[in-house]
Amino acid sequence: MVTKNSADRDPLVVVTREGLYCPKADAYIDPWRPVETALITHAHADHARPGSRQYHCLASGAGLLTERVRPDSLSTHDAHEPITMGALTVSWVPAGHVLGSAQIRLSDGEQVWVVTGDYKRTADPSCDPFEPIQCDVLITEATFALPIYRWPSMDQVMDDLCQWWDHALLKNRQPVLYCYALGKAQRIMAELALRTTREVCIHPTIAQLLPAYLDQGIPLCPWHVLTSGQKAPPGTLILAPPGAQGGRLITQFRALDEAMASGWMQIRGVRRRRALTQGFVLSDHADWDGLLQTIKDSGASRVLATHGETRVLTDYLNRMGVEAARLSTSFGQDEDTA
Amino acid sequence: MNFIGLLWALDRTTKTREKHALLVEFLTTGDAQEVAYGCTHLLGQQSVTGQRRLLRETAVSHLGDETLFEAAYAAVGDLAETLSLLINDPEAVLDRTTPVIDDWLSDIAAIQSAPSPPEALRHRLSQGPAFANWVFLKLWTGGWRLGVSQGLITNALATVTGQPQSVIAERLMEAGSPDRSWLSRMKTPVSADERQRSAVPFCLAHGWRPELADTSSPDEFIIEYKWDGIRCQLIRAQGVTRLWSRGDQEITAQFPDVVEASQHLPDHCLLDGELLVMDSGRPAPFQSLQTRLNRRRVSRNLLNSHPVEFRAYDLLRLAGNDYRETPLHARRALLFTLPVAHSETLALTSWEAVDAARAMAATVGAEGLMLKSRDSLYHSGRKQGVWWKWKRDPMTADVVLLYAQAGHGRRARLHTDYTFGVRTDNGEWITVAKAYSGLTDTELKHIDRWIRQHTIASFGPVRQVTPTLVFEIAFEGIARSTRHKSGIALRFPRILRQRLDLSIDDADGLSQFETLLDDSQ
Ligand SMILES: [Zn+2]
Ligand SMILES: [Zn+2]
Repeated sequence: MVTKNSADRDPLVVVTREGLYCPKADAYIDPWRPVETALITHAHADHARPGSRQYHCLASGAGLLTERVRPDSLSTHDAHEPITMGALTVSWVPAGHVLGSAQIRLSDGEQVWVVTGDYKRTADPSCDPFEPIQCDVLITEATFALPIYRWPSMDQVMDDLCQWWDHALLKNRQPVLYCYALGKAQRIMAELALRTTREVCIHPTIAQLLPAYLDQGIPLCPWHVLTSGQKAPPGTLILAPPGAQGGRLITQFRALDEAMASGWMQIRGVRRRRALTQGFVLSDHADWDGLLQTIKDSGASRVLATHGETRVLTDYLNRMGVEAARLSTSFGQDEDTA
Repeated sequence: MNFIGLLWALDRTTKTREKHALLVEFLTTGDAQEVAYGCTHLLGQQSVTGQRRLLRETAVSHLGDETLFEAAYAAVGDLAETLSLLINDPEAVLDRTTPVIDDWLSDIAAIQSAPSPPEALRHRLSQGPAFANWVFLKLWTGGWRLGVSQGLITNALATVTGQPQSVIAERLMEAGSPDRSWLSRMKTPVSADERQRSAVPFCLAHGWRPELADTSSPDEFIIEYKWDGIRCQLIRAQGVTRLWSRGDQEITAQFPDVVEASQHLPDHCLLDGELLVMDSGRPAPFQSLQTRLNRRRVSRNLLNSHPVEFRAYDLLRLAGNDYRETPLHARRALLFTLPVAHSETLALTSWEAVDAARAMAATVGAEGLMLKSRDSLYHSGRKQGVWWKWKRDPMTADVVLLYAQAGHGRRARLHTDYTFGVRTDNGEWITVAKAYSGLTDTELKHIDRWIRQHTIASFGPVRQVTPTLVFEIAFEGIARSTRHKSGIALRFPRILRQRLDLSIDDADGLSQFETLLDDSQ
């Protein structure tokens, strides 16, 4: 283990105009401007942006990254495979966030730094599970860093979801569930495939991303693609991204029962402000307990936080005697804050 | 359905009709104790007061960190909800059928008398699902924020018990303890005393149609000014005065001056009339009446600066007799024998004279004329062909704010462009007019804040709000339109004022616009 001083004097990651920069490898992690070498944690728009020359990612994430960014040059790596870049050894370790999502582990032989990207510690049949890594400095996300965010069990959420779905059909309404197009929608489809024979009708934006999941052999429930001027097949649930609310594809159905699956649905006021009849607490990010567990598991002597409630988390860690600071990044501003 | 089940379902609908159905289901299927306690709690008549501190202490000791608690509370914005999310059993199953209130009341008593109440509360919460904990904790703090008004509960109780709404509303005020016999007390037949004390459904007027003048003569009507105040029934029974406005709202406490002035009325009478602020013997504009509304306490200063008079125009009960089936001219003859300010009958013998009086209405502080068939009975609701209102404005309507958009220039930061709607016969909301404000800056700011707090959806710059606020709009004409979903188009609609005294149930319906349409063609 290194002292605080060496991490300060000799940082493996610094924030620059372009993004999280690794000086010893001359590479950027999830850069928000075009750079020479981009090490990508996952394909969400706030982490994977187009325009860089050389991209690196976890092999299972290549399909989604290609669909989203269309990189000219992409190197893919297996989980834990050590890659030498300049003076650093770099490896990708599953983060459990969405298909192909990874934490990036950096080591110069003296210190180990980990950039978690986005992660969750709850089970998800659509991606590999999160693996804790020991390190000196942990750069963690903090999207849901408040103790009110504690995720209910998936069994309960799926039971509630199916009940609401049946109830909507009973009332002759078309159930519509808003969820993020990359990750959340496919997670729900995979959960349904595990539990039921139910079928969904998906928005084209979601359909576009399915080949990447099928390539990786993720079992999904049967689906139809939503088209204009055509009714959803009887009994199906419509899955659509939140941006589709109020749009033509959705409003063509007269009687709707609209719900949303997101960690933000934990708070009643948030759901009611969106005029949703139902909210399902379902997030691809770590909840409060998950964040604290990860920090503890890492054994890090220093924690840096990105995304969301960074101040709450770092202030709390400081009061608990863990050295922590906020990193100002552009993460969590685009599509994936649920 | 238990109390949790009721709230769980109420929390998942924004439709008044569904809420009504849920309350009716709860009242019919719920356990008697649960129904009594639940309803009175939703009405804000119960709560374990002074316990916010205990909730706060419990949360802080659970987290071991006060700053963290403050951050969580700030994110949620509600103390009971914050605590329910902080401490719960995520695996516990939500039971929405078994009665809970009996157990919960003893739980509450046990927690309060425990050696360490925060520890006892924390233990209790650690075993329940978050939603049940939220309900449990709301019993301590009150303030449900579920959009369940007193009117909604009164309505559901009236449906279930078959008793008149005003009787239910009064029984709710004086219902006593919420025990197992609470609901059966609501169900008891109306007693003679209650009948004497209760208001009756108001008789409402239609907009005057000019062509009626072709087939009738002014002397078929009792014509009086249309006063611009609050419609009110004044009841004097067993030596007590009660004031009821439309929508079964008892407003007695807001008008001690009116109560005082009614002392000389005979017992057992029910008058229909208008509450007006008087300014040197003349009714003041409606705005000055608004300063008297919705106040918890009415100061002596306010009573002096804005004195209110009850101006009677109809008599419905006297000395135990119900006169609603008696012709209007006879009712008014009786009314004029009572010591009360009344609305004079105008002696107008030609339509020219009527028209002239209508045009002059403003000079006496009235907003037009009322034309009531001399022989009309006092009907409940809006019956065709009996009572007519002929406002000095060409056409006006009471409509409900549905959407708002930010204005331009100086008012770019305020939501000043309003879209108004009314309900169809099926209860669906439909927009009828867009109007820019005729409101003062203070009013605009007030409404802007309200809009921000009650936005249920945003479409770009447009906010959709919970249908609540009623406005009176004026317009120059009305025509059929295929371009509008409502099927009508209004010419030059503009806002006259906000109607704080009206609820959405008092607003006009689409059918009333259709009547106007028939009139103008
Ligand atoms: Zn993400
Ligand atoms: Zn992110």
